[in-house]
Amino acid sequence: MTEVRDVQTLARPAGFTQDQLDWVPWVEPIALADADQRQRPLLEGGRGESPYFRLLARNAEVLAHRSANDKDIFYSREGLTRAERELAATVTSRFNGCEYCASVHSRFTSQLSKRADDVQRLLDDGVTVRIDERWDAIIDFTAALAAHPPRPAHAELARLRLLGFDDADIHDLVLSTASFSWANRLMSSLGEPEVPGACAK
Amino acid sequence: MSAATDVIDAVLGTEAAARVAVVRRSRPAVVEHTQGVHDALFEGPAGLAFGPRRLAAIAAHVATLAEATELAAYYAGRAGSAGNEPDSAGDTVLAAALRHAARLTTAPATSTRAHIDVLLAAGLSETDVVTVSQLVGFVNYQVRLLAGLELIGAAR
Repeated sequence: MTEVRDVQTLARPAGFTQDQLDWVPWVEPIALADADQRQRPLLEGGRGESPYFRLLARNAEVLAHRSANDKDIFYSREGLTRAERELAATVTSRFNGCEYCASVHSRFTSQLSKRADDVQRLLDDGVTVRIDERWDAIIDFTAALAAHPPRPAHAELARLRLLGFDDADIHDLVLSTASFSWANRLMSSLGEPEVPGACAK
Repeated sequence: MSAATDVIDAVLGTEAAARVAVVRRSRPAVVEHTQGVHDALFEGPAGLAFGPRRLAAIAAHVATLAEATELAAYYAGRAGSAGNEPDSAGDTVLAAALRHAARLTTAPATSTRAHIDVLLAAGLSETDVVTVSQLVGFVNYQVRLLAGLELIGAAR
């Protein structure tokens, strides 16, 4: 049975949200039962339920390296706080207009920072929002790097250094921004978000 | 892994790579898997089925659009073309993939389901669509990683 379908207009998110969204593929994912020995380890746990990961499993070798890369970019213990790595992911996703990625990573940012209202202002107003000195510096550096083509961000980098960011912290922001410059282009071109439950009517 | 097999270092060039060597090597898993994605794209079974030269031509086009001159030159070399201009030379699969790559790079939010149908109608398999999409995403990742590393290095 195909999983590819159109999302009804009423089931599309009405803007950038921190609420949980579903994702409907435009290209057929593999069925979990059909996963071969290269694909099966990549689809353990919740990933086997996800049409996105079952679709990317069509190229198992690339997915394996991509997942390992992302895991280190977002979860390595040393370096920038996870909240600020997730903030950069949210800024990049908001800038690129990826509603699904923005919903997931704004939720993570809110959970980790306990600043759900500030995160919602970023989603509502976009990357020109002003929040506080530290978040503004992260937002401006990230938005410059996420731009197409990337804008030279010497002034933005100098501001981060004045606030005490060292090379490793800035490298973490670069990696988070680069990672979502990739993820946004997958999620917004291989399918679309859907408000859960809205399609059953 | 030897320096010769690391595409990010090679594209940065010896001096720029040396300026950011310490910070890059503080995240060895990222260094390893960033190269791992590159190698999997070009040498994995799906990439070989689609055609490594086609993939390199698409990557060169993406890097050129993103104004990443050295990265574009690297991929153009792999594609076997002298310049960075995309040349699909009657290859309808490559022509469709190049158009898709350009839109996804320059305006990612404008993608629609109809664009996928165009790729499938041009003769790409579903696995080809995944491979091309991963390639376009990965080159956009490389573009930001290179730009960020150059910034960090320049400020030292």
